[in-house]
Amino acid sequence: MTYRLELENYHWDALNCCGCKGCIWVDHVYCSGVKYGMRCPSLHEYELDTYSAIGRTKLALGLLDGTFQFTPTALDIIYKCNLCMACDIGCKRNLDLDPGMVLETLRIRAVEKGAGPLPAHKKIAENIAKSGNRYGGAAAKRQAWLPKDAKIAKTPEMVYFAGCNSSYKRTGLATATAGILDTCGAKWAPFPGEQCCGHPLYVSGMAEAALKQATANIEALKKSGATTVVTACAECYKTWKVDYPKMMDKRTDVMGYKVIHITELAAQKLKDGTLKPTHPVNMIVAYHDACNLGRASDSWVPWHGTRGKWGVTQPPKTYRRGANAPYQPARDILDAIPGLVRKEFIRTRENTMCCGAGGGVMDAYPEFAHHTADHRLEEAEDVGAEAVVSACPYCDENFAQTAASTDRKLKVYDVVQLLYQSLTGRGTL
Amino acid sequence: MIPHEAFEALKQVVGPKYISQEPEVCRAYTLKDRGFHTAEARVLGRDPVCVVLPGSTEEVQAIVRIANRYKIGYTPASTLWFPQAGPRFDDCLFIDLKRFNSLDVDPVNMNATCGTGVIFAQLQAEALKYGLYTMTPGGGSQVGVVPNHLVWSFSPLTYRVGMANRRIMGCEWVLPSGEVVRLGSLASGNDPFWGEGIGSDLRGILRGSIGWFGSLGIVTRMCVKLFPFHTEPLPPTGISPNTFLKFPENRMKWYNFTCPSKDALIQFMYDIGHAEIAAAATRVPVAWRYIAKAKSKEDFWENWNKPEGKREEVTGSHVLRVLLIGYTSAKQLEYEEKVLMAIAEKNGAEHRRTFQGDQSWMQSADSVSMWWLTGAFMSVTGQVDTIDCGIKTGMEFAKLKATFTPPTMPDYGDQGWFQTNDFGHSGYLEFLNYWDPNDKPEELHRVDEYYQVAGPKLLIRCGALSFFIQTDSPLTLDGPNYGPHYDKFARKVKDALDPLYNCNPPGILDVIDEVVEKAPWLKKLKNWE
Repeated sequence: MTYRLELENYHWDALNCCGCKGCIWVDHVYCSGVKYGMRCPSLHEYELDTYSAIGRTKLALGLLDGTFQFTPTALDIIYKCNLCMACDIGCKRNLDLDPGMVLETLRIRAVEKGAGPLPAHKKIAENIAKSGNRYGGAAAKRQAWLPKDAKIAKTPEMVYFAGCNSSYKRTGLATATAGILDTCGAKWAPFPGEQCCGHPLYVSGMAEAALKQATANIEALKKSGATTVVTACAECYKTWKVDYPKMMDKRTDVMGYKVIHITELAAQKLKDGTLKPTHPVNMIVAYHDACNLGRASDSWVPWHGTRGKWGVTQPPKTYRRGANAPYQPARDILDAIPGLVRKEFIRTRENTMCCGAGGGVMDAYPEFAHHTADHRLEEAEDVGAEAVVSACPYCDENFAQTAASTDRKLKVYDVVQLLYQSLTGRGTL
Repeated sequence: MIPHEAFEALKQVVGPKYISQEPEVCRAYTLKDRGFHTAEARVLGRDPVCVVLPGSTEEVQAIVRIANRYKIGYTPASTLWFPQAGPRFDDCLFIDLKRFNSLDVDPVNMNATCGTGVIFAQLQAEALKYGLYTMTPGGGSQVGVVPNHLVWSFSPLTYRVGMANRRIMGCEWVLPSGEVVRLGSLASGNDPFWGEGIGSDLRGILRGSIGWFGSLGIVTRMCVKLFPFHTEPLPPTGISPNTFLKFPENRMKWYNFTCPSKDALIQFMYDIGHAEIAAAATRVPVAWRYIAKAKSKEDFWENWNKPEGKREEVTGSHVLRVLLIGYTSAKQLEYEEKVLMAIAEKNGAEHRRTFQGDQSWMQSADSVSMWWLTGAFMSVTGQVDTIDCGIKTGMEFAKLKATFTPPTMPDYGDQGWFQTNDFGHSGYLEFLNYWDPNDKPEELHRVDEYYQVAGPKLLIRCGALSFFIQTDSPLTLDGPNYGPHYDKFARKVKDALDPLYNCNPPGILDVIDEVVEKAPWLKKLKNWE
C-alpha cells in the first residue's frame, strides 16, 4: 500500500474537526431553506451525527487509539456512506481538512484488518477477479455493444472505456457514446481488453485489488498507443483521473494519459460546430451533477510533508475543493438540444446531493440508495422537471429503479442518450 | 450506562431508529475531540452513554419524564456547536433535537415559527423568499435558530434588528418536570403575532441574562421576529469556497472607511446611529482581512507572519465597515449614502473600495474560519456595553493577551472586533483568541490559564458585562456590582424548576469553577478575590 492511503496520515484531519457541520449542509450561500438544506445523504437518512463526517472522524480517532475495534456497528457506520465527497468539499469551504480521505482510509483499514468489506462487496470482488467485471458477465461479451458500423481507428488517439455498467447493463449508453465519437470525427477505438476500472473495489476498501485493476488497465492503455481515455461513466472517469494516481502516489498530470468525460468532448465539438443537434427533444429536464463527475473529480495531487506550527503544511498542500470539475459541459449540451428546457436542481454542482448509489451503497444497502434517489427525484419534481438527466450510468440506474418502484412520473435519461437522439433522430426516447 | 428498563422505555417513545447506546454511535456527540481544545472540553468532555432523537414535543416530554423517573442526567442540543451544550458528566443521556426541523414563515405578521433543529442559513433563505430577513449570528450560519435566540446572538446586522433574545415572540418549552409551557404569543394558540401572552410572561426567566444552555428544560419551538427587507433578489454566485450573494447595488452596498484614529471611528459609529441610517456598522480585526484575502492557511501565514510593521498596521488600522440597505427604495440608499459621506467627511474618514457582495453576515457567516487559522479558537469576552466601554475592555485584553503570546497566536496588539447596536445605543466587543491545539501540554495549560483564570479576573477588574459572566459563578459579578444578585436568582430558578438537577447538570452556573477545580494546573491559580 502506498504512503498516503494510511488512516494515520489523516489523524490530524480527524482530530481538528470542530464540529461545525459544514460537511452536511449545502454551502450556506446556496442554502434554499429547510427541505433541501442538506447535502449529506447518510445523515439525511440516518439522522444521528454518527452517520456524518463528524461521527466518522471521531470513530476513526477511536480506532486509531484503540478505543474501538471494527465491530459490526463500526462497519455499519463506515459503509453507510456514499463517499460522495459532499463532506470533503464542505469542509474545504472553511477548514481545509480532508474528511474524504478519512472515510476512504477507514475502509481500507477495515479491509486490512479483515473486517471489511461487506458481503455484497466481496461478491463483486469475486466477480471482478473471475470475469473482469462487477456483474460476473462473460468477459468475451464485454464489448458486444459495439456497433458493427463503428468507425474504429487503427491507430487511435483516444480509447473509449465503457465501464461495466454500460458494457453489460445499460448498453444503449455505450452505443450512443460510440455514435457521438464517430460523429465528432474522433480517432477512437474501444478500450482493448477492458476490465473493470476497479472503482467498486477501491470504494469498498479493497485498495490492493483496485490497484491491480489500475495497473492492468494502464498497461492496456499503453499498448493501445492512445494517450486519452474517454468515458461516459462518472465512476470510471473519477477512478482514472483521481484514484489511479492516488493509489500510485502520483499527480494526475504525470500519469502519462489524459482522461475526459464524453460530455467534455461533445461540448467542445458543439462549440466548434462539429456536432449539430437538430432533432427536437421536447422535454423539461433537470440535470443531476454526479458526484464523481463533479466535486469528487478534482485532479489528484499527492502531498508528502509535515505540519508545523498552526498546522501549516510544508511543502504547502494543494487543496482539492471541488472547484475544477467539468460541471458545465453537460449543461452546454442540454442547452444546445432544440426543444429541450433545462432546469437546475435546487442543489447543484458542488452542492449536489448524491443519487444514493455511490460508495458501494447500492450494493450493500439498496433501500438507503433508493430513499436518497427518491428524495432527489422529489427535488426534480419541485423544480418542474419531467425528466432527470445525469452523466453517470449508476445514477441513471438508481434513479430509474427508484422512479419505477414509486409513483414518481419522472423519466430518467443520460445526457449522451439525449444528445444522440437530437443528433440522429434515433434513440430510445 | 443507563438502566436497561429506562433504555427500553425510551425506545418505546422514539422507536429503535432514533436511539442508541452503542459507544461507536455515541462517540459522535463527544466534546473531547470536537476541535474546541479548551480546558472545559478536555477536562469535562466525555461521551454520552445514550443518544436519543425525539421527533415531537410529546416525545420530548416523555423522555424527560423517563429521565426523571430513573434519575438520568440529560443534555439537550440542537446543533452541538456550543461546548456547554455538550455532554459534560457521567452517564449522560444526550437529546439530539435535529428532527425538529419545521419552519413556518408568516409573511403578513413578519415572523417565523421554527423547530429547534432549524439553522440560521435555512431561516434566512426562507425569510428572503418573502422579502423579509433576520441576522446571521457571529456563531455562524450553521447554528440553531432557537438556542441562539436564547443567548446573546450578535452580528453586525444586530445594529438594526436588535439582540436576538429580544426577538422572541413565543416559545414552546418542556420544563424539567416534563410539563409543557407555551410562552408569549404561542400561549394563546396559533397567532404568534403578539409578543405578550396571557398572564405573566415567563420569557424573561427562560432568557435569563444569557439563556441557560439547555439546563432549564427544552425549547422545542420558537416564534421569532423577522424584518422587512427589499424585494430585489440576492443571487448566489461562485463555486465553493469562493461563494457569495451578489448585491443589487441600487439597494445594498458595503462601504469601507479608513478613519484617522480610534476615537474618530467611534464617533463615526455614534454619528451613524444619530442619523438613524445604515444596516450595520462594524470594525473588523485586521486578521480577518488577511483571512478574506488568503487562498489557503499557508497563504495566510505567509502574509501574516511578517512582523515588520505589523504592529503599526494592526494598531493603526481604524477601518469602519458600513452596510447600507435601501429597504424601501433605491432612493433610500441614495439618501443614506449622502448622509454617510457627510458623516465620513466630518470625521476625516477616507472612503475605500470594497467587494460588493455578501460573503459573510447576510446568509453565510464564516465563523468556522476562526478555526482554520490555527486549529483552535475561543472568545474570552463578548461584551454588550456602550461602544466606549466595550473598547476599553478590548484594550485591556490586548495587554493581557500579549503576556500569553506565545502560546496564543500573535495578533500584534489587535483590540478585538467591535460594532454598534440599536442605532448606536449600545456597542458590542468580542475579543478573539487563536492557539495551536497541537502544542505541548504546558503550552496548552498556559492557554487554559489565560482563558479560564486570567480572563475572568480581568473582567472583574474592568467591571465588564461579558456574555461569559453568567457562567462564571465564582465571579458573582452580576450580584454585588449590578443590583439583584443574578447568580443567586438563577440558582433559585434552577432549584425550583429542576430540583433533581437532571437537566444538563450542573447547570450553567459553575462551569469555570468546575473546570478550574478539576484541572490541577488551574486549581493552583484559582484566586477569585
